[in-house]
Amino acid sequence: MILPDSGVAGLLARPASWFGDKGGADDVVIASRVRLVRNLAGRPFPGRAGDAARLEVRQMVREAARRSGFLAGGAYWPGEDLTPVDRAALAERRLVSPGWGGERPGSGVVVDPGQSLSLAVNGGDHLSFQSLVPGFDLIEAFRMADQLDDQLAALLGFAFDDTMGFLAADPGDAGTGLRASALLHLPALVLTGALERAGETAAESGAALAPGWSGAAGDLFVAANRSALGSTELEIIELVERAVRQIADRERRARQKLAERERAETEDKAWRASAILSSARILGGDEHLNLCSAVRLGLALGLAGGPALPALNRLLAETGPAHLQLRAGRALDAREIDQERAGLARREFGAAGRPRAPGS
Amino acid sequence: MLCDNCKKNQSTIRYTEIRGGASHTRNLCEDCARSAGFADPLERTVLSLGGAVSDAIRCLRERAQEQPAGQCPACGCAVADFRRTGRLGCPECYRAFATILGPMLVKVHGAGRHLGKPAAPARSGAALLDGRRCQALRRRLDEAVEREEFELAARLRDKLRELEQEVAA
Repeated sequence: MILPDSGVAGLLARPASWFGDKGGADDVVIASRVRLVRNLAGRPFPGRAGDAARLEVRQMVREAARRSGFLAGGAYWPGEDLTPVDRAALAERRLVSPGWGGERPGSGVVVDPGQSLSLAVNGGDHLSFQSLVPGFDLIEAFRMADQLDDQLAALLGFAFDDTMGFLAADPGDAGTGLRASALLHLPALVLTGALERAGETAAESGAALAPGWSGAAGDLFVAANRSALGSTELEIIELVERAVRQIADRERRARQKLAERERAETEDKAWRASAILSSARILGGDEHLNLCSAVRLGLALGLAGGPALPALNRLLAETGPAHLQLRAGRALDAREIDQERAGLARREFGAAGRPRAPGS
Repeated sequence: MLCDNCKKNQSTIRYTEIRGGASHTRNLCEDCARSAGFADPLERTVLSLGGAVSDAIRCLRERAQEQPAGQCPACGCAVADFRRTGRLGCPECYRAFATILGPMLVKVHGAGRHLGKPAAPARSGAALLDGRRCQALRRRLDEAVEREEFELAARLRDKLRELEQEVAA
């Protein structure tokens, strides 16, 4: 149970379950997520609802979340009580989608203490909730989201049509309202120029592969279903599973090839990256992601040391600008953010047994 | 096209009146048509006329129906709003804009019919899901053994046993 006054910073000071501290971390599939969108029957969607209607919906959803078994112990914040940094940090932690609309009156967010379930109220839809688990386990993610859906459906009447399924503000979400996605680390496919082929393979099975960060920084990608209507939930889950398995297999084969043909180069790159991460004083966001990518690859091939996967996953979230500002307890400018990021990386890579530079 | 009467709402009804051999056509929104006393003016006209005129009006009526309805009666969301934002206004919009949404859903999803869980789920899906989870675990276990990741394999095996007992219980 989280004290409400500990705020978003208090919640995010604890590790998210997707970091994989309690097991489940995977060297290719970092995390699996299943998101469902739902709307209340007979009420305008949030984009068209007035403030009073939005507040009423928020009250109903909050009450339902409190009475649902899964979110009963969760932390709840009205969106307008959060600072822009709080809201951005929740997105960096992957608990809500970026641009979830938390700044508008009547929005809100509920997060369970383990951060594996979260629910946004009055974003694009009345409810958008997700289950986020470490590694490759879309079935488990779906099971949790589906059970939460059943609990909420018993308490709230959802907008539903026999032909079009669950009705969403964006027709692209209509039907199951389901989006199953996996966050993937694909450095070997990028290095060997085989990423495009992997994307085509994903597309053939009905999934889409897109960069996880702008410019595909850190070789991080997201695979997800493209359509939510015309298949059962399990068919969609299986489709994404299949695509992810194919992409991960290709990545592992490409890694083996690198280990055989460019062993020294890969090893060198990983150690250089970890040297920079353990001693840099200024570290840009993309630079940090790219260096961590080289370290992850070295780790996976047993060619280099460094922090364990859960620590690297935590860094992925904690080096975001909003996380760094929450940690510092004040607003930071761009230069200060890069300095704080370098400090965080130094602590992590220093703690992983690297020799510490003087003054670090 | 805007309503000839109020000049505010999108016209959804094309009303043709035959008076003294000449036809007068007006485009009205639903509200104005109703307040002018036409519950369904086209229906009445079609009924009161015969032959070629009736066919022509039926043709007009069909064309009017091909046009997307201008506005959702429940929330006031206009087709233009939807086209601009990509977002519908309320659940009722799905019915109001059915003519444009139908083809769009097929284009976006490759299908137009929901096959997923019903609004009030019959709680029989659990057994199916458990079976599916066993399958997935078994597959991951096989993969782990194949990759000689024995620690992971042991964990997966324990999880699988646990689940199988749960299902059997």
